Amino acid sequence: MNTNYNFNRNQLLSLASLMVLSPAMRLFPNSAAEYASQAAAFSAPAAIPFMLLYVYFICRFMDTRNDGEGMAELFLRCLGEKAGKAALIIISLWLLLYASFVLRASSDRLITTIYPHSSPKLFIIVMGIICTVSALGSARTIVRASKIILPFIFGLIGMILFFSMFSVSKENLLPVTVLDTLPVMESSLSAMNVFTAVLYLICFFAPFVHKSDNSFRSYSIWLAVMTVFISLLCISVVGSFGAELTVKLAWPFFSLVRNLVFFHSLERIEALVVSIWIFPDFLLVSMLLYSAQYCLRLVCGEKTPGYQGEKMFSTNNKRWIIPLCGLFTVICGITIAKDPVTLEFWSKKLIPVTNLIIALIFIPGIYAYGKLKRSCEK
Amino acid sequence: MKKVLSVILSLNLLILSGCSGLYSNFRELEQIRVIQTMGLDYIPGGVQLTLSSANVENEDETALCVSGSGSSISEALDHIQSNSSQDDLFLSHIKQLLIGEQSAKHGLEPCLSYICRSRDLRIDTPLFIVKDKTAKETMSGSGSGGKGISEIFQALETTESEQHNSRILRASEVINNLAKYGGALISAVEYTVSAEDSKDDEQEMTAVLSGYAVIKDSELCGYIDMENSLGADFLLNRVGIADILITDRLGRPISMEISSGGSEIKPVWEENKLKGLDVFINVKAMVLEMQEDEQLMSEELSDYLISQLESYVSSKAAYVLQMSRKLQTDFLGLAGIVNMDSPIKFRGMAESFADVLPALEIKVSVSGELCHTKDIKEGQN
Repeated sequence: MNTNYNFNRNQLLSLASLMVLSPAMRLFPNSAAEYASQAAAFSAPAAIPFMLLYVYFICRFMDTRNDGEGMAELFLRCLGEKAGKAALIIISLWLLLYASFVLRASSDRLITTIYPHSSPKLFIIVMGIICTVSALGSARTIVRASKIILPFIFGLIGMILFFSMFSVSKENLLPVTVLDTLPVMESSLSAMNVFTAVLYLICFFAPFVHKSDNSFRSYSIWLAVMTVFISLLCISVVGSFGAELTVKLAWPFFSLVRNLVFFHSLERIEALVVSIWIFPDFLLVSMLLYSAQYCLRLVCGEKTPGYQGEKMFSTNNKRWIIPLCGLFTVICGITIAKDPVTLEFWSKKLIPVTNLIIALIFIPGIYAYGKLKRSCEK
Repeated sequence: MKKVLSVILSLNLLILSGCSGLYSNFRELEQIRVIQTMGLDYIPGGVQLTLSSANVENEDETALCVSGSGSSISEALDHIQSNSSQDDLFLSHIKQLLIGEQSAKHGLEPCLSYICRSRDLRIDTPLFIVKDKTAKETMSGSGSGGKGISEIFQALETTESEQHNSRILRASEVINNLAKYGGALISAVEYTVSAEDSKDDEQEMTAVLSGYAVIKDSELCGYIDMENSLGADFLLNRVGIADILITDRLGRPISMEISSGGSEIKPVWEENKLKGLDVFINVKAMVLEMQEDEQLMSEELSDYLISQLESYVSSKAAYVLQMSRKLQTDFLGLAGIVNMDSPIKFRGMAESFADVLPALEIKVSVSGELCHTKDIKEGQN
């Protein structure tokens, strides 16, 4: 493998941090407020024990890989050639479906918040093309783009959270009692959904990261930081609007941004914030497309599906699969969830449930099979 | 390939630089009328919408006030946009929403739902209910000399935020309180004669704050007048500077200024049943005007004034609490206070708070304090 296109774990975690934003904004704080009401801020921390276990599992699974191997290669190694390829096809389809859904949801956000009379098609097509171009390049480009964008996005969110804290009311966040334990645990499913998805997805980029020690520690610290971020997000939104109103709003974070007035002079910056939110979507979809085409090229017999410096429109090494994946994603994005009710179903039920099945049953199942057969050992 | 891409991207700069390229909603700033006040009135079969802009720079031009009707708010808005000869109406800076009394009586649900869904309105837009009048009458009739309803409300908001702990309630608070407690308060305004001298014979009109409107299940069900609204301010812990009038022992008026205060409400439980509420109010006030023949710092007079102050505040708070019980509406958010104090008992209550509210024993106790008395030296002789 050409090491010029490799990157380190910190860069990968930058990508993971931005990937969290897209589903986190979709699921939080609405679903947290829906289940846990005023205790919504505890939803993400409640997921920590389970998530630490999941991080441990992912680290153990990835420990079995050799340099230049990732989740896709481990599928093949654990399950054998035929079953491994079948598993790769399943996961590729899931990744492409998820990418389509992210495109659809992001276009809906733009329509709801800024362009009310627009068609989602334009946003889906444009974003789909950009992400396909990105997937035609190296994984390193995607990761390094996230490293550049990360401080900007989190700086912006930090500023918004800081100013929104002035409108937080303690009556909207308290009281929290033992009676809230069950609802909080229920609402922590959303946090688990977001974190598990990001954790197993970044494993598809593992071939480009050198193996190193202390991955459990790094991932745990990253998990703690992102938990704090999601909790602050819940505190600012639920604390400002109250749980009841938060549940009613489609995009409560952006409604909060709309209310903000900076220094009595700057206001109505929601269009800017929503536009900037395109970056996390772009990175997530690019990452999903890249991973899907990687898996499919492995299925087609390509030994080193990673970017090797090929020209953008080169079809060598089965690279014709990449635009095909892009096309599939765009068409799927246009055809799925055409009305708000269906989109809500996809957002709250179909995608989270499928994701949990992949994260908690499908991938651990492959690992367990590999362990039993001793095929996943180095 | 790189060269071709560079040329394509460079060409994009020609069409994407600025608002007048591909994106066609370019407008000159002078062509935009910034709407600052929106009014909603009920008409049979729909709503009447009134929009008012702020004053324009040109003194000859008055503030714009346009209205239109439709079966829904959006339809009325479309009607105004299409029938107005004015420049483009810009709705993203609406600062206040006035609701006519009849409209409020018919239910605020469509209005609140519109606020939640609208991309123009902010969810924390201040809401006002116009007492005895329509929003249209108030908006079109208020103001003079180029100043319209928007300026009046801006001044009102500034005064409130400076002098009071803001008695202006926002849509987000109202929506949240209605969902949580089934009741809410909205600031009430009155259309009245302005104190300013008019140049011609016609009386100038204005809008002033006039207590609170009480909302039960999204419908207007009563008012707390300006005098008694002080009681609600204490119970909601929104007390700001307020002048009150009491009498001395000879029945002569004494004007006092309340500078601060608040309340603490403690639920009284009998096992797991809510029996009552103990309301502890504290108030600080200073004497503004009084007859000079009394020594303020005499202990006897001081005690008397404090007792008068306490009695005044107590009566206002009791009035508001009584109203809440009578209407069986928890517009003060008492359930939230009880929940905060004893969350486990509260959640274990067999009946809802609104059901037990009328039977609750409510005890109000006020603790008053006289603070400094401006620049007058007392108690020298």
